Amino acid sequence: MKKEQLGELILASEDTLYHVAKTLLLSDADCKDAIQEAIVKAFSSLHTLRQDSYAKTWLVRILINECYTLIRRQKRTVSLEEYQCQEVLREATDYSDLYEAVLQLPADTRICVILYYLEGYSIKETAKLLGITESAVKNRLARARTKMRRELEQAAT
Amino acid sequence: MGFEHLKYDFPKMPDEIRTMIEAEVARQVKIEKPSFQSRKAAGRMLVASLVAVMLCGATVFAGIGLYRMQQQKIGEHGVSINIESSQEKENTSIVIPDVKMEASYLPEGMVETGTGRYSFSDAKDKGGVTITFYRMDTGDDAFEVKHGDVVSSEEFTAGGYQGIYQEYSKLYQDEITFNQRIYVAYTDVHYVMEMYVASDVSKEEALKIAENIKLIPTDSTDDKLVIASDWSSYQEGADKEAEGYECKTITSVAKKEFKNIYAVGDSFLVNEEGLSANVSEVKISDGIQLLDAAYVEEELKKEVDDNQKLRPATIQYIKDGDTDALSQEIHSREVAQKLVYATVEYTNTSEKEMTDVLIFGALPRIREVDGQMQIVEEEQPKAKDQWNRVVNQGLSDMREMIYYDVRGGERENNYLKNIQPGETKVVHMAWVVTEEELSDLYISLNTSSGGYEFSESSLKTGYVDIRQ
Repeated sequence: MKKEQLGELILASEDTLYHVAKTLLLSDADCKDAIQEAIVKAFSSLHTLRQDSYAKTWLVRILINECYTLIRRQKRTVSLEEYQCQEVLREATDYSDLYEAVLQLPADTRICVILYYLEGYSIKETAKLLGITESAVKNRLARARTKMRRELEQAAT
Repeated sequence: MGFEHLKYDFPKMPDEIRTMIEAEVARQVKIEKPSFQSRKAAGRMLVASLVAVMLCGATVFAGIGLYRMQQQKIGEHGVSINIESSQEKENTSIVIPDVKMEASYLPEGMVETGTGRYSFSDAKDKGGVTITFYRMDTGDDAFEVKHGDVVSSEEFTAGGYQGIYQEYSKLYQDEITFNQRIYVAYTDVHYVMEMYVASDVSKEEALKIAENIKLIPTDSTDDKLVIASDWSSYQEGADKEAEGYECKTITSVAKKEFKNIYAVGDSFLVNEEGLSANVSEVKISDGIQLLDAAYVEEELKKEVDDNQKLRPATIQYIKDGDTDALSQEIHSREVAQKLVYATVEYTNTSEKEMTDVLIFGALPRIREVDGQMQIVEEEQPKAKDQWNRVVNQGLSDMREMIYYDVRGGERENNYLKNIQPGETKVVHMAWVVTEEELSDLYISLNTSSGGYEFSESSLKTGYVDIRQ
């Protein structure tokens, strides 16, 4: 893939990049930092991309890694449990009940929901992006649906 | 309403981020003319930067003189660093320009390995220095950090700017650790630099690097633009606790839940698509002679002696430092390590070809205690113990497989490229354990959780009992 093609891919994936970063980092300032770092890294490591058809997956994975790097840097010392279950304080904004319910999910479940429902990745693609199994993705989505139902029911009462 | 409605409810991307993406892509691809929107935004930012340069040029010395970075001792080994203003602030918003960093000195042999990262070429990404910046968006005097475990802390001047150098205790003398830190206050442009310095960089060299760093106002399209975190965002994340759902790990289950237990030689399903596994053989060895050298990773090679025998692991009992005391090792002991080598036969029992099949093996240590099956975690201190945590310096600290002899998938790692209906593929896996753990070992071939916790999925897949 040439640089120009990568550039076109990134511009075409702007919304995806923001959705992924916002899901993990929550603060727009951090999203901007992570996305910019990810773009720089993508261009500098373009030679490692084996198949062009995987390019968007590869790009999103770079961004996910950058988000976790930023979280680790901000927290300085992160235990294994915290790394797996990051929950960053969000900006005080008037969000919908649905989005608020999503924010209540742990980060590893939240990112599954966003990739699957918002970005339209398949179970298999989501599993590849996150480096987990398809059954793990399905389990997390099922837990998310159950939890979301409860959150929205509570919000309604 | 379901998640499928998220596309209507997800927050919209701010224009600022969209503009940044377009500008960065243009910079990377070196397109001559940015889009109309970017040009407008870049033009606005350039004007603001020029104004800032003019302001900075007129007031740089006065700006530095208004503020003072200082340190205050807390207890025996704690230090607080803050920036104090020497006069009343006017009630005006500060202009923080975009800046670029110029580092005019690096020790011999040190190279840039990433944005703000520099390490020696023979220890790339292991040590060196990492430089980050904070934009003091709420005022330079909002800056405050506190550290414990401090060995020494001193003020210095870096090119006219005030700085603090700190050294922290270093427990592992044979390893490179980031045990030094430098803060410099660039109050004329309202940035603070935090430089993490590893133990392979001397104090003198670290100070010299800091003394030769300059921040120069520039425009947002500059290649060397500093990417800084706003101090207000950093503080918000540091000060407040995470809210909401906490992800708890489950390390104990009732014995009746621990029901899918298999012996060596049993076949069982490991996924819903019909992949079955059979741990047909397990061997325990003192070294790595059983392994195919082509698949032995560097970290495992370093764990053995000249006869390929595993070295003992050093178990350290540490008391962490705080403002009153430095971190210290209370005592340590050595324990022999063993290699657990398993032959796993994967069979496709379905009628369809499987491709890119993820395989994984973990070796949790599990023990029955009062009717509960518990993952054996690290030793915990008793009331009279002086230490608060245990560190295993050996590879036996890991629960994931340290060796496997297949390669596949996008990244040529633990995937089977394909497996036909009815076909069996053999994989050899290996782990390093301590001699003490041989009586607690189970193999988990579940691919969604490691050996550190139980999950619904891992309990359903089951465990292979290989206790010795």
